[in-house]
Amino acid sequence: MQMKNMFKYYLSNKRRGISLIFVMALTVFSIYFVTSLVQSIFSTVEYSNIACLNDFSFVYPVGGSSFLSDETVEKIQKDDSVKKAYPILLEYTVINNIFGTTSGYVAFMDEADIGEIFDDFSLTVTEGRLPEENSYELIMHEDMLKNKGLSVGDTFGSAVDEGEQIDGKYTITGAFSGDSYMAFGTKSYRQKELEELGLDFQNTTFGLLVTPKTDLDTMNTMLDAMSHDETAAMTLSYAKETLQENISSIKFLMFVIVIVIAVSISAAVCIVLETIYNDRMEEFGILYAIGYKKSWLFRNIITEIIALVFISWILGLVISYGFLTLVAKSVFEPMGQMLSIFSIQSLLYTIIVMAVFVVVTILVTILKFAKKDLIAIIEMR
Amino acid sequence: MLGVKNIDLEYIDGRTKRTIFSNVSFDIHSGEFVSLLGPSGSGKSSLLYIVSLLKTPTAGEIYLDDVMISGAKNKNEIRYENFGFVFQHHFLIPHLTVLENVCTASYEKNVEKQAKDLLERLGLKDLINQKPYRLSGGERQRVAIARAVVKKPRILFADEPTASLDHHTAQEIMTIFSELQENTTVVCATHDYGILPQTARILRIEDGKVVEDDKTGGNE
Repeated sequence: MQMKNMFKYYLSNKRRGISLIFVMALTVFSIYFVTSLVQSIFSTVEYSNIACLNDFSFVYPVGGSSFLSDETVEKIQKDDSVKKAYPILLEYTVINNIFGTTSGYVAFMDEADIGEIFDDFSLTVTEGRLPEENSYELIMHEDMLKNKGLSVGDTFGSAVDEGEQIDGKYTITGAFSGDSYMAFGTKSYRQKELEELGLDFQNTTFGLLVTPKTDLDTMNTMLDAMSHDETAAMTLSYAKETLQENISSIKFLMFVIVIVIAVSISAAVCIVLETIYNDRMEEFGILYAIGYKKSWLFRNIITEIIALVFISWILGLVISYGFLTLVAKSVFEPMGQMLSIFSIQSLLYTIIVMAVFVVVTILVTILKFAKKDLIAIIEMR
Repeated sequence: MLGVKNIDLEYIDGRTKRTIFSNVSFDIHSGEFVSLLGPSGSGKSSLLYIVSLLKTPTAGEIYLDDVMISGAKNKNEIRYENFGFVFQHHFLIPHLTVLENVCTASYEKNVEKQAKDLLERLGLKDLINQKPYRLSGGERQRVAIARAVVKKPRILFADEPTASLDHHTAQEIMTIFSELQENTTVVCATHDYGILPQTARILRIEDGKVVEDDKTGGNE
């Protein structure tokens, strides 16, 4: 019996074959689509919270203290791994993603220092200009601008938008491109408040933007070791670690959900397949009587199931690709965010699901089939 | 050619042991048309299934060319190499065409040509691309016969092959079996004496025993 006859059953019973493939493809699509969307949250957070930390690190006061001690500042500035430690006032702004919000950095520093950062890390002004010294002006990464739905010349801040994290009202003077997803300004409203409280802003360090002399890792190792009750360092390694801790429980939950879905859908697919193979018992009975071994029949059944699952998997991925492309263009791009259409992790989840389908359906089908007395079928007992 | 020695068949029915037949022995020679004749429930089908290695007896041996095959581990291979089967029900695979059904009998890649020739001989040339549901009962049974003989088996086993057919069609089927007898030994289980060919050897089965071994044949 030629192998090509193998799929003739499904070609002759298209409704059954299509409904099986449709259910499995829909499962693949659901899992790929949802896990890709969830991955996009992690990507957005990573981009907004971590991207700039690939070039430099922040040091800021913690534990009730509003500024860094002179000793800490001096220690950092004099370290061999540090090129320069720029005094900054670090604030945060809201970054939107489709499931909610996260935070992005806004660093307030001298105009000249901003210029140096732009030169050292290849940040390019694509529109407008850098903010002037001592002004309530900002230059923002172009993707951040897109995310907020703002343009150069617009104003933003809590005085303009109640949902905004950063106090006050700032004018956006320019947009820039590069790896550092953040905004730079020269004067913050918090600085104004602190000055009104009598703080000598010029001789007080509220935070540092620290650049490496040679490699970032060596500098970050020093900064991580230096963190204590009053000072914390936002380094690449720390940020990644924190992000992983925060998302690990979500990732685990996602994995559990995927497995539960896979097993549930496998049960449904098993029931349909069992009906199909029960209906075909006469076919298997006559083949056995003619002289085909049970092992040959098993191999054919297994090959049919694997082929069905594979076709469903490919179809599910194609549908996912189409939908994700649509969502990326219509939802994510206008928000200045990335949606990765090809995700290894999402692909792996679908492979896990398909593997569960194959194993469960083969086991159930073959175990039932193995117990059948094929000759009893021929005898029509 | 085919030796049947001291075959017993028993089974447990609830708490009772039922004996279908006991101590049945006979030989079948090459080129014979052997009919296992008996009423319903006489055990003729069971005997046919045992002789053709589809069923295992409670006791006894089956020999093919003096080689014991009843205890063989490769019964599937022996059936494939030597036997063909026609049953009361045609068991054609519904999603395959007539030609594809006949070709299922053999692993060989060149079986298609032989299948077409055979189907033409059986008057089914115009139906080779049809699915079984479009065929009449007699046509389906002829396809089943084609499937059984396409790889030229040494022995063709037929279990009540005409039971669900009208008399005229049944006679046609028996005529085909007689023609096949030239190259194939035929063993046929049936309760209908009236359709057997004249040259048939009749083994009458009653009460679990072969009560008659008539080599003088049946009716035309």
